[in-house]
Amino acid sequence: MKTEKIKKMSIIEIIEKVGIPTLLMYKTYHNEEDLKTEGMLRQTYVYNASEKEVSEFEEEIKNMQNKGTIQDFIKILDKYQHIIDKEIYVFAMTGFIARDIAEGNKEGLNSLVAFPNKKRDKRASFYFARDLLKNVDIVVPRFSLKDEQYQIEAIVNSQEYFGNNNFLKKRKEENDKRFKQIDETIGLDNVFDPFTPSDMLKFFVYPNLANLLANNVYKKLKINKDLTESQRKEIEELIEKNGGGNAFAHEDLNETIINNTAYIDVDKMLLLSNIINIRCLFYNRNRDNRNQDNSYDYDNYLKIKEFSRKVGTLLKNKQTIVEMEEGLVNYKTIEKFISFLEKHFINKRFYDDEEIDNLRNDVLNGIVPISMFSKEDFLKIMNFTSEELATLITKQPDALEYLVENDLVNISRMGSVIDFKKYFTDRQVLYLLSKGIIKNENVLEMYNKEKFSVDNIRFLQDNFTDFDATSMTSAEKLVKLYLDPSKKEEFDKYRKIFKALKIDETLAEARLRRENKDNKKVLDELDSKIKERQIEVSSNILDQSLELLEEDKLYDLYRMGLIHIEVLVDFVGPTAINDLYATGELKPLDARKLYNDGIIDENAIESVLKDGNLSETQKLVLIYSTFPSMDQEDKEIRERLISYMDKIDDTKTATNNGTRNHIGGGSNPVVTNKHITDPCARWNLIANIDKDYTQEYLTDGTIIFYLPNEQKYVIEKLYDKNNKPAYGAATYILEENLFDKIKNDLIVNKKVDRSVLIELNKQKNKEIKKIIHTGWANSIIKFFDLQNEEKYSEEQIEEIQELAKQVEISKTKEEDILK
Amino acid sequence: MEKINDKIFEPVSRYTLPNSMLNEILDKLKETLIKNSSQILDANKEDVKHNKKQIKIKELLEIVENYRNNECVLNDDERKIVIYRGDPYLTLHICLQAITQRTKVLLIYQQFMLGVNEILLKIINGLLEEYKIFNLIYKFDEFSLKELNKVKTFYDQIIVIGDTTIYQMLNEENVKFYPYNNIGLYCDSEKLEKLQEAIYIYANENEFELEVIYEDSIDEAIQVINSDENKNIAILLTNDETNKEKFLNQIKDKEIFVNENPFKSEVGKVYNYLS
Repeated sequence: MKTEKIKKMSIIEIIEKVGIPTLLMYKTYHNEEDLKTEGMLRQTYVYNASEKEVSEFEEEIKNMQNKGTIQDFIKILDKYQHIIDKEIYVFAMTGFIARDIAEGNKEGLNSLVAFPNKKRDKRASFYFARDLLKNVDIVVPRFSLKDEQYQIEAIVNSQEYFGNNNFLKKRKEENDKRFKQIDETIGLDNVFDPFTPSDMLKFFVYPNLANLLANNVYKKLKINKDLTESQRKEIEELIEKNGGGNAFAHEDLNETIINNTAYIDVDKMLLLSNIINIRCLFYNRNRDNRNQDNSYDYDNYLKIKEFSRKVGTLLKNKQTIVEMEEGLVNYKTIEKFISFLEKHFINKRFYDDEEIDNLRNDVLNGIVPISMFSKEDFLKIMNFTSEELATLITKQPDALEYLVENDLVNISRMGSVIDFKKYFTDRQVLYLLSKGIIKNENVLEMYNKEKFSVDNIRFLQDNFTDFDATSMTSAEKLVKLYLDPSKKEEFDKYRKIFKALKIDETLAEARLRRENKDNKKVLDELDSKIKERQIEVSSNILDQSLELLEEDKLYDLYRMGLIHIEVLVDFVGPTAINDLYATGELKPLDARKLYNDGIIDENAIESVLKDGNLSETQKLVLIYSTFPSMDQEDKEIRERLISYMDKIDDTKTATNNGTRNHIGGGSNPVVTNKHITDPCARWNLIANIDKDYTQEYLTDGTIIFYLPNEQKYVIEKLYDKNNKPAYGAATYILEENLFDKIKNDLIVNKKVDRSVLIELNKQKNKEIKKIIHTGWANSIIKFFDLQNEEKYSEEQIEEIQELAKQVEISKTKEEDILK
Repeated sequence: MEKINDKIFEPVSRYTLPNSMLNEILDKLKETLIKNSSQILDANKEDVKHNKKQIKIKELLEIVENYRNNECVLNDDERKIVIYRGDPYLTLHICLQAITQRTKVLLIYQQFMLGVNEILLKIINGLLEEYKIFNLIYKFDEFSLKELNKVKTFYDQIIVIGDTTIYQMLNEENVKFYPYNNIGLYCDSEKLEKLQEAIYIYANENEFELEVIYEDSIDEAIQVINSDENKNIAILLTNDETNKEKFLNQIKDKEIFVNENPFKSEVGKVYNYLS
C-alpha cells in the first residue's frame, strides 16, 4: 500500500509537518543509537538513487553541518528531494518524534527533531504523521553493525507502529496460503525460475526492502565460504560469458522470497514470472534463420500458454499492473500476446502477418491445399468472405467437402450472396444436395434467381437419384405462363428448364449415344425412345388449352422446341410443312429428318426453289441448311439442287462480280475477291457449334443463327447489298437474354439495324461480343471452346477442325480458280 | 501445348542496367541478328507457307536501335503475361521492354510466324544469359484458357495486344488491351473496292484485325469506328470530298488514312506495354 497523499506532498510541506532530524544538522553523536539513526536515515534514499547524487547530497549536508540554519538544510533537502523516499522519511521522522515525546519532549540539541516553525507542537506532528501512515505499508530494515558491515537486524513495518498490528500477520498468512496453492498448481520453482534478485523490486511491496534483500542475495554467493576456489572461478567465468553482472545462487533467491512472503504482492509476482517467460520466448526466436522451423518454438509456446492459463486462475486481481521496461503490463497483455501467438501458429509453425496473408492467398488460389489445415488452423487464416470461399471452392475441388464437414461455411448464407452456377461445379452442387444442404424444393427457386443454370440441373437429374426432376416442372404451369402475356420473362425461364428436363436428350442418353455411335440398333432405339417422350410431352402441352391449337401458336411452340415436328404435322398437315420449310422456319435438323422420313423429298424442295418469292441467296441458304455436311451424300444432293437452280434461272449466271460462291458447286464462279472466305463454309462451322441451331436470313445479307444449347445468337454478314460475298464484317455474338430484349429494335424491316449493336458495344455490354474476321475460324473455335474434350467427342472436334480448315481452304480455292 | 516449365514462376535475376550496359547489349543483339540473318530468313520462308508475313532484318535492327540510351526504370519482381497474335516485330519490342524494365514476361502467341519467333527468342535469351540475366522471358505457343488459369495467379497482369477476341474472352479486371494495327475500313466507292481488298489481304497476311464496315452512309461508318475503342486505325477509301472532310474531322482518337496505304511502315504503332 502506498499513500498518494505523502507522494503528492513536497519535501518542504513534509518538513513543515514532521521536521528534520537534528542528526542531519549537527553531527555530534557517536553512540550506537546514533548509528542506528544514521542507518535509518540511509534508508530514506530511494532504492534507485544514483550513487553520485547520494554522495553530492551527503557532501553538501556535511559542509552545512554545524554551520547552517534549518532553512539551509531545507533548501538542500528540497534540491535532492527526488532521491528521498518521502514515505520512509515520514516513517523515520515519526519514530524520532515519538522518542522525543516519550523521553519528555526534548528540545534543542537533545531533541531528535527540529521544526522550521519552532512553535510546532510535536504531538500534533505525531498524530499527523500517524494518520498519514495508518494505511501505509512501509517496510524498513533495521541495521546493526557487525564485522564492520551493516547487517539487517530486523525488518520494521510501519503497520506495527501505526496501523493494524495484525496486518502483517494477516498478510503473511494469506500469502503463505497462496504460495501453497501456487506450488500445487504450477510449482513455486517454476515461478521463481525466471527471476534474478533485482526482480524482487517489482513485486515486493516495498522496493527499498527488495533492494536490500537483493543485494544480500548477491553478497551471499560472494561470501559463501562453502564455495571452493575453482567453483568461484567457474562462476566468474560464467558471468563474464553472459555479459557481466552479478552472480547469485538461485536457492538463496528462492529462500529469500519464501522467507518474506509477508512483504510480497503475490499477483505481481505471478504476473512478472509469466511476463519474463514470455519475454524469453520472444527473444529466443530464431531471427536470422527464417526457415521452416523458424521463429517461436511451438513446444515452448505450448508450455508458456499452459503456464499463463494457470497463472490466470491463480491471480486475485487481473487488473494488477507490473511496470516493465516496455511499459505497464497486466494479465490482459499476456492474454493478448498468447492470443497473437495462437493465431499465428499454423500447423505448429509460426507465421508472421505477412506470411499469413501470403498463405491465405495461396489457399484462395488453390496453391496450398485446404486439407493440410486443422479446422482450428483454418479458422485462423480464414476470415474469408462468402465470395472468397466460393472462389476457394472453385480452385480446390475438395474444399467444399472440407468446409462443410468441418462446419466452416454457411452454405445457405453463401447461396444468398454468390452465384452457384458461376462458382460451383456440378459435382459440388450434387454434394450439397446429397448432404441436404440444398433441397429439391430450393433448386427451382435458385434457378429462378439465376443462381443455378440449366446445366446444373441437368447434371443433378443425371447424377442424383433422389433428385426429383419430373415434379419440378409441369405442362400445366408452362401453358399458364405462356398464355399470360404479363409473364413473358417468367415463361422464358420456365420453358428452358422444362425443355431441358422433359424434352431434350438427357445426359445419360447423350452418353449412350456416344458410347454406341457405331451401333445402329441402339441408336435407333434411343432415337425412338426420345421421340416417343417428346411426342408425349407435346400432346400433354397441347392438352392444356384449346387456344394452343391456333396455327400461329402451334408454330410458335414448335419454334421454341416445345412440340415435336410430327405433332405439328398432325395438326397442320404436310403442306403447311412446306410453307415452314420455304420460309426457313423449319429447323434444319427437322428438315433433314423429314427428308429422311420421306415427308419432304427432292421434288418438294425443287418446287420451293422454283418459288419466285425466295431470293437466290435464300434458296442457297435453304439447300445448305438441309444438307449441310461435307459427306458425299449431302454434297451430291446439293450439287443436284444447285444445278436445278441454274436450270430454272437462265438470267442469273455468274458474272465478273461473282454471285454464287460455294464449295463443290457445279457452276464456274469467276470471282475476283481473293482472300475472302466462303460464306457457306463459315455457315457450316457455326452450324456445327450447336446441332439444334436455327437461322433467319435477312434481306441485307445477314444471317442470324440461334444456338439454343449455347443460349446465344450469332449475327453474321454473309452477303453485301449487291449480293456479293461479304468479307471482313464483324461477327456479333449475343447472349440469348440480351437478344430477346433488343430483338424488335435490332431487326427492322428484315434488316439488321447495326447501330443497335454499335451502341451496345460502346456501352461495353458484357452480353455482346464482336469477333473480327482475321483468323475468324480460330477465333470462333476459341470463343465457343470447340476443342474442349469434356464438351465434345473426338469425332466432333475433328469435324470442327476440318470445317475450320475448309473456311481457310475456301480462300485458297478461289485463288486456284482464278489461276 | 508446351508443358508448364517451373521456371516461369521464378523471379528474375536482380540485375542493374546502366546505360552503357544497355547499349552494349543492344549492340550485341544487333550483331547477333545480323550474324543469324540467314537463319531468320530461312525460318521466315517456312513460316510463309502458313502465314504470309515477310520479315525484314533491317526492321529488326531499327527496332533494337530505338531502345538505345533508353532510361531504364527497373521493377522489383513485376510479372506480366502478354498475349498477342505473334508478330515477330512485336515479340522483339516486348522483349526489349522487358529487359529495360526488368519485368518478367510470359509470351503467349498464336500459331503465327512460329519459326521466326523461335529464333528471336533463342537469340535474346542466349544473350541475356551471357549477362547473367535469367528467368526474364518465357513463352507458350498457344492460347488456352485452362493453361492460362494455371499460371495467371503468379503474374501481376495480363496484357493483350491486338487480339480483341481473346481480350473479350478474358473479361477480368487485371487485363489490359493495347491495339496493334486494329483497323476499321470504310469504302464508299465500287471503284476503290480493289484497293479495299488489297488492304484487307495485307491485314490478314499480317494478322492485323481489320473490320470492313458495311454501313450505308459515312455518318454510320464514322459512328461504328468511333464506338470501338479497340481500334487505333481508321481508313477511308473515297472519291467524295465531303465524306473525306467528315471523316478527317469526326474520327476520334485514331490514326486516320484516306486513300493511302496505312502500312508504309512495316511495324505498327507500339506502346509501352509493360508500364
